[in-house]
Amino acid sequence: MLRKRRWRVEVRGDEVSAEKGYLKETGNLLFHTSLIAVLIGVALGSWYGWSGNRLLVAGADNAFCNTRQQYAEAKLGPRVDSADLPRFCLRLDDFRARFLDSGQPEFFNATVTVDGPDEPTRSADFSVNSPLRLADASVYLLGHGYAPVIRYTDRFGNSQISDEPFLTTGDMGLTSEGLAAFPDANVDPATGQRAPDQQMAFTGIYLPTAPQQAPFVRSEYPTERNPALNLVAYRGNLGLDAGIPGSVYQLDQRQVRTGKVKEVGTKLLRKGESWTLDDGTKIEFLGTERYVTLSVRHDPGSTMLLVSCGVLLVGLMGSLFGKRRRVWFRVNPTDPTHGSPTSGSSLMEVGGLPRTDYPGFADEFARLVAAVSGDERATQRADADADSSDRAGVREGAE
Amino acid sequence: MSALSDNLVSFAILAYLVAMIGHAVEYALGNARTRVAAAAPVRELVGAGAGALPPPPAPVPSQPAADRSAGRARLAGLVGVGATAVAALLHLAALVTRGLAADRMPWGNMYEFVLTVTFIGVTAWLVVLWKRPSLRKLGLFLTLVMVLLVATAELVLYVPIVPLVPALNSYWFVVHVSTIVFASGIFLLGVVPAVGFLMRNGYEQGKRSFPYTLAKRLPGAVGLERLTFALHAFAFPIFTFAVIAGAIWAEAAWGRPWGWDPKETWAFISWVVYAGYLHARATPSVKRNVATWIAVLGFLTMLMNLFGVNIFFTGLHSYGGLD
Repeated sequence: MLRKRRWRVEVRGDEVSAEKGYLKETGNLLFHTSLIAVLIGVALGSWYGWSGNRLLVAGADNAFCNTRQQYAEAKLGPRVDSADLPRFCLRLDDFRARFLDSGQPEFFNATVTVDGPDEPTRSADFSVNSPLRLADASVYLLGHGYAPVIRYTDRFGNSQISDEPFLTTGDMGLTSEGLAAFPDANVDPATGQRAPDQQMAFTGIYLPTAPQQAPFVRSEYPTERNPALNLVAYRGNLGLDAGIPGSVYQLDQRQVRTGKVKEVGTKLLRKGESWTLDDGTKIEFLGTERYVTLSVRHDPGSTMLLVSCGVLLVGLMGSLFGKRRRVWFRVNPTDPTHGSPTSGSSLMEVGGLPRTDYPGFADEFARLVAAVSGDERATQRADADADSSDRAGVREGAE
Repeated sequence: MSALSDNLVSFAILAYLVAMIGHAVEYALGNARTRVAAAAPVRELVGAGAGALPPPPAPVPSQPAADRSAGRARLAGLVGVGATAVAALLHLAALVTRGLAADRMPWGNMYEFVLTVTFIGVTAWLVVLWKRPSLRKLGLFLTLVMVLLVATAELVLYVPIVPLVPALNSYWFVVHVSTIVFASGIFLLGVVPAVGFLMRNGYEQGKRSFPYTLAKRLPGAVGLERLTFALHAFAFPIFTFAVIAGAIWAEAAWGRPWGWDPKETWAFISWVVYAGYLHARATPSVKRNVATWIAVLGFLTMLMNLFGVNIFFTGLHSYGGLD
């Protein structure tokens, strides 16, 4: 009878003890074991995972392949070697963004072409909240901005184009700052003679939506409603040949301080405008390309994390809501020599103990006893018993 | 629709104020009555001890003045409950109209978030009250908390309606935020019986200094403690799920499931503190009032996470809409 109600029953002679609610302890074990599994998942991810961040400017010339050198910032786990990185290449084909009138972004979407030995060639879309999932890596869209396309024509008539990304300054209107450097400018094509003091660089602020009047330092809206490029031109030795590492987004200020680089003028350029400098050379603002900030990551521990988190929840529910309780039945055959009012019958003693805070135990106990004795009077008696034993149990459990 | 929502919030605050006054009047009249009748606990409070309390003292000697006063106190308490229910309906209407006006779930910034959390709290309170009417006197504390939180939301945190930023535009928004809001609401409600228990417990142990005297007419300590545990045990798995859902979303949005962003860190702190409470509650050698203090500490970390993190830190969860 008890077994049918899924109690664990043990019979010793005339005594029957039964326990129910192993779910609580099982859940408890499951919960704490899965906590350890979560930690192992995190450890796996940091040992065998890797990640890298970089900017990617639109266009075929700016495509990049997944090698460590291609990232501005790369982090490889202790168990990962540069050669282990999956081989694929990404090219940004299109980037679309939509903004509210207030300038708050509403929607981003990037379209890339994936290519490479480890990936089938295809075009793929991804956006914030829906990363591009590759076989052994995920590509996340973190940010975006503009890369002004600037053409410089030097005194020998040679043209060079820069489309370095201008970094956003963090304001709503995507005001961006950057550098277009032309270290190979003014090289005499006839002799191939370099002219280190004739190198050119332009620092500037790009305003997707420039205000109607000066000062032209802050963009009013993130899309290109009135694009303008506020440039400062520098001529001289940019210091790029010295072999000292420096930012590609900023002019080396040491060269300016020592007078090796001199400022030669400032000008605000609209899209398509050009500016002829004092030495007759010419700079043109051709337009802009979009760029995106990407994070490429691989975390081999994530599946384990997910599974162990699921198990953790199940175990937690079991341990919080499972209720352990025990019941005992002892059958005392009535002694015929002492004369029983009903000869041949037995007296049954019943006890119960909830191991945890469980107000509903008294009812369950009463029902159980009633079912065992199958007798109306026993039911009434059991009710009284249950109350007292329940209270005893609560006291015991609270010790 | 947006203006309607704002007005509804104002009316809801008024209704909570009315409810608070109702409960306060009940409290005050209860005082008068005790003085007249010079008898121990009020009749309806006795039942709350849930069997484990000593049997109720002899019935209060029936004096007409005392009965009239008790009747008035009871009426004031019922007015308090009724006003709380009306306030909750206005509160719900404010949330629905706000959501309709914004054409999304109203959880996009701190103002909407606090409004929702407090609504969950008051709804859970009404459910608890329905099941255990004897807890009615706790309503004074609850309505006080509601007035403070909703008024703070209206006065300090208010921002006009805007659509979600792309980072929030995901179905995980609904899963993560709804469960976080729900669990936070239950946790925040849980502090009411927790504080009630601490005061009442001291009172029952014979302490008669200031904060304990307030507990004179609170329900019995054992019932309060059991309710505290029930609320926390109910909210904890939901909170755990919400944090896990947040981690899954963070993996999709930011590329890592966990990054010790201020909000994540404080959620983890709250989780550990509440886990500590559940462990302390399950350990017989830890006294119940020690365990309950841990729950109150958990409440403080939740408050820190709700307000402090949005105001003092800048992190990936900075959607509060405050400058």
